[in-house]
Amino acid sequence: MNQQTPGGRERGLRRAGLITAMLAVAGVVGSGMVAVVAHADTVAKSTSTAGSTSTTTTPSVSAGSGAAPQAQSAGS
Amino acid sequence: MSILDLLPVGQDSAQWPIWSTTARVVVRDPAALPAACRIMDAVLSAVDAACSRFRPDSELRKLELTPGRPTEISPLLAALIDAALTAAEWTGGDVDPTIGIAMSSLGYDRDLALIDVDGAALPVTVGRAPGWHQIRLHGEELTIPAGVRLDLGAVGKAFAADLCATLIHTSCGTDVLVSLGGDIATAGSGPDWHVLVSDGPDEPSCTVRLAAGMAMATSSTISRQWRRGGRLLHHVLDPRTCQPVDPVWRTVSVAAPSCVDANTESTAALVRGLSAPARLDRPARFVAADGSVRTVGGWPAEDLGS
Repeated sequence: MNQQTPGGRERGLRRAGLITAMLAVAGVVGSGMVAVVAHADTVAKSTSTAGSTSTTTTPSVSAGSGAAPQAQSAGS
Repeated sequence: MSILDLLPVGQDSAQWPIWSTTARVVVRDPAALPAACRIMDAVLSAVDAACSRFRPDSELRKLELTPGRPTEISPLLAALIDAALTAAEWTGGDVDPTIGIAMSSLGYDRDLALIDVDGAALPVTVGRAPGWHQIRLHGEELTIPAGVRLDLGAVGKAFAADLCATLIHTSCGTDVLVSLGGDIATAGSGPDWHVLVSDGPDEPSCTVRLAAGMAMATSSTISRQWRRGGRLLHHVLDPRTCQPVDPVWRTVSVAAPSCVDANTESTAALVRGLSAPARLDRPARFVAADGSVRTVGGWPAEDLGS
C-alpha cells in the first residue's frame, strides 16, 4: 500500500542537505549544523520507515471521530 | 469564503494567503508557533524564488536564458526538479513537468488572481508535451532543451509542505501539520490529525483522521478554472494532449507517506480518469462528476450524515 517512489534513499539524503540549508536560511542553525543534518536524516529515514510500517498496524487514514477539523484538504 | 477560512485559528495555529491559496500550520506545542511560522516563511519564499513560473527573476525562469546548456542550479531547485522527474517516472508520464508552455498557452501564465477569468478564444493546439525524458539532471547540473518550459507548480507546493513539516519538527521538536491549500504534510508521532476533505461548501465532504507522519493531497478539476472563448479550462493537463483532462472526477484525495507522493498520485488519478481507482493502492477518495463518492485502498467509508 505504501510503496516508496524510486530514488527514495537519494531523495532522503538530498532532503537532509536541504534541511541544513533551509535551517540556515531560517536562522535556526549556525554552528553544530552537522549534528542537525545527521539528526534530520535519521528523522527522515525513521519517518519513511514508520510510514511503511504503519499500514500493517494502524491505518494511515481512518474514520473521523466527530472532532473539529484542524485542516482541510481541498483541490488547489 | 472558503471552508478553510472558517477553520479555527488559535494559539496552536496560524494561516495566511499564498500562491492563490492558503497556508496553514498547526503545532502541538503552541510555544513553537512563532518559530514554525518563521520557518514556513523562509521555505515558501525560497521555493517561490526557485521555481515560480510567474516571476521573471525566479531561478527556473532565468534558466530559459540558457536553453540546451548544462547549468549549475541550487540544491533546492535540483531537489524540486528531481521530485518532479521522479513523479513523471513513477506515473509513466501521466504527471509530466514539461507542460509549462502548454499551460501558458491556455491562459494560465500568471498568478491565478491576475488571470482574466473569461477571456477571448485561444487557438487550440492538441499534442504531446515535450516529455520529461528530455530533462537532464545530474546532481545539481541541469539541462533543459530549447522549447521546453517546466511547470513545477503542483510538485513544488507538495514538496514545500513536506519540507516545512520536516524542518519544523526537526528544529522545534513539536508535532506539526502543514497545509498548503489541498496539500497536507505532517511530522511527529503523536495523535492523529483531523482533516476535513472537501473542495468547497457545496461539495461532498467528510472528516477523517490522518495518522501522524502521513500526508494527504487533493487534486481537483473544479478549482483554478477560467474560460477562453466560452470554453471552461482548468489547470490539470493531460501530457498526451496538453489539454485539460476530462472532468471524470471532480476531486481525488490520496493519503501517502509524503505529500509529494500523495500529490503525484492524486494528480495522476485525474489524468487517468475512469481507470484510476483500480490503479491506486493507497487510501484514496474519488468524487465523480455527478457528485457520487468512491473510496479505495482502506479509505474509511463515507459517513452519510457528514
